[in-house]
Amino acid sequence: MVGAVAMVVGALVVRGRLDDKKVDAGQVYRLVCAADLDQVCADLDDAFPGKVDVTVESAGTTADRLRRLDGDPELDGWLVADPWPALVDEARRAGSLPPLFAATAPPLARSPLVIVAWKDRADALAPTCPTPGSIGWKCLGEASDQPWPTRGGQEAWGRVKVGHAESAADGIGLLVLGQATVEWFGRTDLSTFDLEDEGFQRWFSGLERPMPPSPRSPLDRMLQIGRAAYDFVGTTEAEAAKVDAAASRASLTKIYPSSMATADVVLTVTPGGRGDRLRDIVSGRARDRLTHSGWKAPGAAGLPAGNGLPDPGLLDALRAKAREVTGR
Amino acid sequence: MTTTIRKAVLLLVAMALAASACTTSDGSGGGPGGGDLQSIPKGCTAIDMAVSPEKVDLLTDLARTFNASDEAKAGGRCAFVRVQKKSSGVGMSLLVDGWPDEATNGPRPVIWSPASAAWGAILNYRLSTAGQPAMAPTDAKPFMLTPLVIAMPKPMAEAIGWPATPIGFADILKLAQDPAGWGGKGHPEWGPFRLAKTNPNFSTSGLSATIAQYYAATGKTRDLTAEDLARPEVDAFARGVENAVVHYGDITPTFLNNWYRNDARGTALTYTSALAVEEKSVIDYNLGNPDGITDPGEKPRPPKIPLVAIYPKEGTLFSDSPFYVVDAPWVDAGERAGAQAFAQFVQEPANQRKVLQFGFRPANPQVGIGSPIDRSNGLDPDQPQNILQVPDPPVLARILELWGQQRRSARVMLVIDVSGSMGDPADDKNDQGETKLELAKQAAVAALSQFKDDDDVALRIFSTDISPTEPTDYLDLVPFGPIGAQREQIASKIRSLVPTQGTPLYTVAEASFENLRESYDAAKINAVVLLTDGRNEDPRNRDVEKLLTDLRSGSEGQSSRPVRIFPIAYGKDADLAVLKRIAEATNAAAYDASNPATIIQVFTAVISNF
Repeated sequence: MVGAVAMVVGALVVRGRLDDKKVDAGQVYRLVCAADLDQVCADLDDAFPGKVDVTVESAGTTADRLRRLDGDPELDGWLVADPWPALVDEARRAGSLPPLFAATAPPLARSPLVIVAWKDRADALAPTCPTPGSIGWKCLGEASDQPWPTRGGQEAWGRVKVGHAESAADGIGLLVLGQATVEWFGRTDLSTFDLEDEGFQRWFSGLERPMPPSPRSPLDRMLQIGRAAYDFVGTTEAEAAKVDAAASRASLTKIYPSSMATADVVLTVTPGGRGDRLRDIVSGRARDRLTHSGWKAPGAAGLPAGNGLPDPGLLDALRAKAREVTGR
Repeated sequence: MTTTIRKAVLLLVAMALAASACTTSDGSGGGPGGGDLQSIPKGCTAIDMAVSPEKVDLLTDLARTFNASDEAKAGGRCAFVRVQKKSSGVGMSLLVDGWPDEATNGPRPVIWSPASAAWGAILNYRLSTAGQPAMAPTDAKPFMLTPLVIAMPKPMAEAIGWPATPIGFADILKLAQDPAGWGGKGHPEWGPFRLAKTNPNFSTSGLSATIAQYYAATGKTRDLTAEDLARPEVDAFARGVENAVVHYGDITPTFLNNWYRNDARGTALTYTSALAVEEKSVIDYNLGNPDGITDPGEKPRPPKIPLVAIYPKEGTLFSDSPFYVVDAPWVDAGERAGAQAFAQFVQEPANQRKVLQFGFRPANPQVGIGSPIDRSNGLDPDQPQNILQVPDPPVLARILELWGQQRRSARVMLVIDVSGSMGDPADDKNDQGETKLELAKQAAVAALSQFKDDDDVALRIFSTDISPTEPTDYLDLVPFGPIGAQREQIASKIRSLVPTQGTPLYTVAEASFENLRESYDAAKINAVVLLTDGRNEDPRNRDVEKLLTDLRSGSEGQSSRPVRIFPIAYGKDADLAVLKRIAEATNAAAYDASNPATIIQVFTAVISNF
């Protein structure tokens, strides 16, 4: 009996390997990788030569290409922060196009969204916030571009400089904007009608309009140029790990906003064998690289159950609104 | 294409052409850095780099280290980095044209590192308007950083409140327009406030300073628009600032070298009051190495009066030296991989510490800012506190266009050598080719278009016995007058020039200098452009020391009437050493056109001083 089972299992294994070879023979799988995950993307490109073709581009570029595409999407999977794939498919449904992606993928890794600040700036601003002593996005939106003397700082500091990656283009930048919006309203169940609130619109413009066209990583610029570039930057806890290695680390602090939200990286694939096969090939490696880069395992202690962000449609509306306000 | 975009493109083309010209004159435009390009070891892939001149020594040093490292051999490949210097504008222009003529322009680069990412943006803008794909990746990382600062002699900075009082561009520019000059600050002995600026069509720091000037005029720190530039009060502010300018120039070392020489003579405070430069230049000056180049055997000696850096309170602009692995058809996968390995190598902390040693700010945040960027060198590592936004390309183009109208007017005598040797072939190996005079005539005529209509220009030629009456060594063909009304007349006279006899260099230099001093116009930049291909051949006047003494005595002191002589040493027989001394005696710069083929570019660079 044991022998028979072994033979069956063995046959299945052999058959599986043959199937693998059949599927893999001459096949190159196409992975689009969000630019904000560039280190992981580069690693995947190196790890599977001739097997996985990795294209690195900003999440916004991919989304804009796919949302109205009526043909071959030229990808088998998309490694990006959630819910960008859902945002694309919702836009496609609204445009009477079929969705591109299979059911929502579970996150490979997660990272809380944080604010990195210069300590002296944070100390000066905190007492002037709506909740004194607590810096969050509501406070930053009100303070952004105000002369520092009106927000507890010195004249020589110029104006309060707040940044996050471009929400229209960057996978993480849009999530930071989503987190900021949730904090302003105090809830996640938002509708596009909520965005018409005059108080919100004033705050939103105050936050977004003064932001200069940002490089891919405002945090890098903050660490390179110092206080001249930014006083406060929103990003992921994973990226903020750079602070720990910076020579100026003693002057910097990480702030966790009261409305906790997380960036969840997913590998979303197209339905069918190619997408499934791509997921089989790269998921493990991508997960490892993400955790190596400071991202957390999905079930890690301290992480909330949900991502704390508005739904994809609302994020898409925020993206459009940010474009409207900044003209970019 | 809209009118605005078309104008922008035209201006950017002009900017690139101008930039390509300037650098040839100072040797920074082309050619390899650190000696001839090395030959490539067998089995290795050449990774050619074109880099802006200020970092060629540093990158040559890093390339040497990299080429001998394991990183260069990673993955079984062998990457061999070779560095050539190429000014940012020249590199940009060549890339737009597909980098033609490698024999003249050097090898096509795999990596291009201009002084600022603004050049990459301009490159991509120009390519896109020509319907071509971008070459400069937008995610290129900075290699190192240096902010634009206002350099001032320490006593002058202290007189306006440094270091306790924050000082801005607007404060400096208002002072530059104050008729009381330094008298208003209790120092009448320093004379008027003299501002030094490089030409924004040529120099990254000149461009940055001009952008900052417009921000100061509008009170903005970002989102500068074409409408802002058109406001009457902005125009008036800009013209007022330009009127305080000593003269322009293609590169900041021209000013720094002259400042240093004046320091040695005890006249630093009356040469100039403030100069917009990159922070690194202040370090070099204070170390006694004003041009940042240490010649063999040179022992730097600190100046008597050091410079300090003022970080404008409104904000400033950074030069960020991006490393572009260019998206060009001549870059293959192996070269790209090697380039990326070098790009990673230079970011390593040990190599970024070398960046700091050279006076730049490291791009890798793991390396903190320390010596030599410290207070002992007149710098503040905690500054700047604010930055100014680089305007969009169309606004940038409009700034350059307006600068051409608002810059200080000039009064320039063109003095051209028509001695017999000017009739020699420009190319020794081609007897049938054009003569030196033919090429010079083309260059001079082409340069006339760079003057603005209200610049006063005169034309003088010189050679032994060229005039039937005394003085016989020179002849005025066109007297001073606004060039707008006599451009064609001057061009026609230049075209008709023929070679004659000897070279009475000293006589014509002194006479031209004195003529301009006698008819000095305080509202304009007063200068002589002196083109010669030979040595003084005048038996009646061989006394170069007397000439230099006279020039110097007429150029010093706060009440002097500064007339500057910009000599062009044309052809291999020109007496460059003496011409340099003539330029230095009048706080100007000499230009080297020992290769006659470069004369058009050199003439363009000379005219950038006005």
